[in-house]
Amino acid sequence: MSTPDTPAPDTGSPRTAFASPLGPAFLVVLGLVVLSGLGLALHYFPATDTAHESVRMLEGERWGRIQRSAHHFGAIAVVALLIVQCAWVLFSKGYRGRGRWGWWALIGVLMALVFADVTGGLLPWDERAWHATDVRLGIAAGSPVIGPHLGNALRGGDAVAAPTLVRFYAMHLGLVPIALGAILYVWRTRCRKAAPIQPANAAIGALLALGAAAGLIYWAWSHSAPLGEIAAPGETGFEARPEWYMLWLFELLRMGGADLQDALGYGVPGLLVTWLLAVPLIDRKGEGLGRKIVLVTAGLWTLVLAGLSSLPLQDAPVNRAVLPQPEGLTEAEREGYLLVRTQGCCDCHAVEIDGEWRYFPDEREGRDEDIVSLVEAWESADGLESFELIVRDPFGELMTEEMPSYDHLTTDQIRSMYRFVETLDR
Amino acid sequence: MDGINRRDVLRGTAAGLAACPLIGGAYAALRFAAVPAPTRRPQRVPLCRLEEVPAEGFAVRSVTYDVQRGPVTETVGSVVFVRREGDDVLALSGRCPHLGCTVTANSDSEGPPILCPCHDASFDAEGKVLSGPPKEGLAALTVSVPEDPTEMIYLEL
Repeated sequence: MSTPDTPAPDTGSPRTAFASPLGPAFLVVLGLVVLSGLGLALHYFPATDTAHESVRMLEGERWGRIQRSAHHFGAIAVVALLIVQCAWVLFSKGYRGRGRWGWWALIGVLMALVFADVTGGLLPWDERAWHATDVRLGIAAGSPVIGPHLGNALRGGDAVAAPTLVRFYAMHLGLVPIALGAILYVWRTRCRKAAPIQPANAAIGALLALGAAAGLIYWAWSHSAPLGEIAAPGETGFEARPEWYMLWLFELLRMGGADLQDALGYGVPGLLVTWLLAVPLIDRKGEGLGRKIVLVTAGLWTLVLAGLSSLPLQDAPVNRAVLPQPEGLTEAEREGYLLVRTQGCCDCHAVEIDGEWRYFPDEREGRDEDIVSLVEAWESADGLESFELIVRDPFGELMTEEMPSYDHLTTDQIRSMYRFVETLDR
Repeated sequence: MDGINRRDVLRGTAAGLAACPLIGGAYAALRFAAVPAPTRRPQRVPLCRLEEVPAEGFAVRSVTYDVQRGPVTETVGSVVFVRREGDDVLALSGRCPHLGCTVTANSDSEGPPILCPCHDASFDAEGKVLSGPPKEGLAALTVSVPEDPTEMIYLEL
């Protein structure tokens, strides 16, 4: 039986997109990521003072922790599987003929997953999330023509703050599933008339899918997704690096300099997407020029992207430690904790953590060890009013020239710092 | 063209009618998303005392100010570099004009005074770009400088 739509040996079919032995594994892992995401959404509060705490509470419970790990590591695995899938389709010529629909579906899913990573990345509201989003929105806002509008619309203002978090939450839970669902639905409709996958391939695919699901669940059970301390906008010195599959863009932005950054930072990704979309149009049949162009350009892209991605690995930053947030702070105490961090109190005043005296950030040299610890400083001030006087005017109160004055803080701010240091004394 | 029949015309009309509210809805959603939500009342943010700005180098201060976004008043944090310029004071925003990372003061006095850790940009003491991707220097902020060195310098936002 052959219908006009049965692919000739030299062309792909829409099914080819997810017909590699790893195709079913991709779909199953994607399903696990979506399911664990739904579970996380039930316990997440998208506001700047609750987001990090709600994620931290999840981490404290076994099933919450497993769900978050499955979502985090599954999201990484899904991008890796999709890239393998694209390479497989590229080399098996699966993008030809009606196979182009499958290829375009793959590219669409890849875009949706990158968008999912960008929007989901902010939700834990930890240091890395905040700084990475700040940079990503900077990239979006700097793009030609639509940039300023795009940056403003995504950020919801001029800084990464509460409106950004709500917008990213809405996009992550709303736009991402709609986009993925729509792309996969259109792809399925194109598959209707295509020849079915060989039973032998289907069996291998099913086995690999089972293995991938089991592997992810085991990994999620035995590993925790990383979670840093709560974001403290106004704190200096954090160096955020992008996901592994975006390191090449990071390197381009770094090496571009003022003159070339637009051409490199926006031109190269634009060229890459255009090339990916154009592959089925460049090479239609046979082993002629079209196929050669596709293979050579694919090889060049792989070399360039892999080479660029390897450069940042050589100077990977070790980010400075920040003062860990104690459990169970009230809202005022947490405000005080964030102020102690942004005002750099622990740069000079030590804090006892697990029996050890620590400074934050801890790389500074020539620190005066005679300066009293944070708790001693709090004790030596005789109550809230005297604490405020000392913080506002250390020279006037203590005749010390070492400590700058913090007269720019409001009384409420100094009060919440006092309340926070009080918790360290418990 | 003999391919257009009544069914095609009806289908086209139906699709067009269905598209209208969708396009309208999408336009409204985009317009709403693009409306800049925050409004900032003019405010004076205390920075540091004049006497605390060193003769050489910077006083670095992390300040907060309020931004009104719809029903919520929100506190936004940012870093300001304050430097003496003769009798006057120069206050630079700590936000890198490249992609918005927070810049840091260089602990090595030989090198450029301000560095951005994200894409290796460096700035001179006036905030001008020495190297790296930014196209413009650090933004100079408006400050009011007191006569009395024990009085506060205020940021005028």
